[in-house]
Amino acid sequence: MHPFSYLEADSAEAAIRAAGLHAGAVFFAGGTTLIDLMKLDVMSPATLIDINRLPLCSIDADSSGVAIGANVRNSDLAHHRVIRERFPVLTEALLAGASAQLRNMASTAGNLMQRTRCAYFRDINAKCNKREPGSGCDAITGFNRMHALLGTSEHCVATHPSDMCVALIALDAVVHTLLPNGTSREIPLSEFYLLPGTTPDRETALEKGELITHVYVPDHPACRHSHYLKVRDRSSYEFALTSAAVALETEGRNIVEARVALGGIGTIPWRSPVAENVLRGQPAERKTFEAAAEAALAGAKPLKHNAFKVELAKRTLVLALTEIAWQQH
Amino acid sequence: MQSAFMECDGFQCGYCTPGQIMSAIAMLEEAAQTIPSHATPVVSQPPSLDDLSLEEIRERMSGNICRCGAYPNIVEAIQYARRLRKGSR
Repeated sequence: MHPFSYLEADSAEAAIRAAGLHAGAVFFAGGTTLIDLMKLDVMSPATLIDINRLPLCSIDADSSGVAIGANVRNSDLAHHRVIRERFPVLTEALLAGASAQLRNMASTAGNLMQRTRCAYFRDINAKCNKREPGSGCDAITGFNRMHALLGTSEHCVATHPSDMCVALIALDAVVHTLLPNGTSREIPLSEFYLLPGTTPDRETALEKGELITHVYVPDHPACRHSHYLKVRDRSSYEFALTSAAVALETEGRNIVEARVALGGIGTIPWRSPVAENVLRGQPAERKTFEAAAEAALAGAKPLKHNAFKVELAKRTLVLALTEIAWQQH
Repeated sequence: MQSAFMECDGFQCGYCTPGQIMSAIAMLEEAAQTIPSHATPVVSQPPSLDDLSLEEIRERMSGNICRCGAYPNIVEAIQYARRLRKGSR
């Protein structure tokens, strides 16, 4: 672990100002990813800007949606009555992630910014284009059972590890930020993450020193009928092999609106518009769900050890859709 | 909770025990506030403290590792403490 300086910001303005003044500065919230990666020498920021004192801890809901502060802890968000009742997929995704101790520390913005669990990224003796651009990728030729099927490139096949983000991308969430020049902007989560391409070290649309202030989730009748299903090697405290976040609005037997996102198999939280198009206007039944799953995985590029996840992901999506359709009857 | 761990033999070497006890107390408190967990089938309808299943207790204690493998007796101790808690009211 390298020496670093630490400062505490007492306002969002002070935080972005400090980020502008200190080269190699990063924002520090729950620390549940960052501190691990600093201990492993995978990240060695020169300066930590502690943003835990910033007043970004509220969950403000009205009839059109909910604004979630950047510093809202994962457990507080999961337990919130409005989230449980109006956006159950989000509560379910959060509760499926990590352990109670980690959820008590991990923040909303920190979860958006968490780094991959690729073992080669986390080992400084391995080649990794994400950690060290141009060094190569040991995962592509190595042990890649946990790696991605969708959105990969010949430079990187690492999965995005979050459960929360899979739910949020299905819910059309929008990230609100403050820029170092003092202006603010809104980035739809669907445009927030960058595919690895030739630059897997660039993971998000955020500019240097840009601070996430809150995440807005717009309400929609489908949100109440939403569900997260996660499949993993053990039943708790484990990252996803595959997961599905789904929301369905039906009229009679027919699907009016569908939201589908997949986790554990994408280099970014994977929204699947093709699967949604297959579902819309069709009867909510197994045949429709299977066709949607085929469409969602049509572009899958399996590696040596993760081909099993193609079928597993399809079944995960079919089961998630079946469970939510059954709940509505 | 400490007494319940003693009564039910909820530890062997004792290394993880302080954390287990803190998590167990917090977990029962959260359950009393009807906060759901990953083991809750419908998160908008969480179980009451009385209806907390073994599966719920195990999931809510997940993240507390015990290398001695005292898990069965830890779960028993938590059920025992839950009964004591109810009796004291």
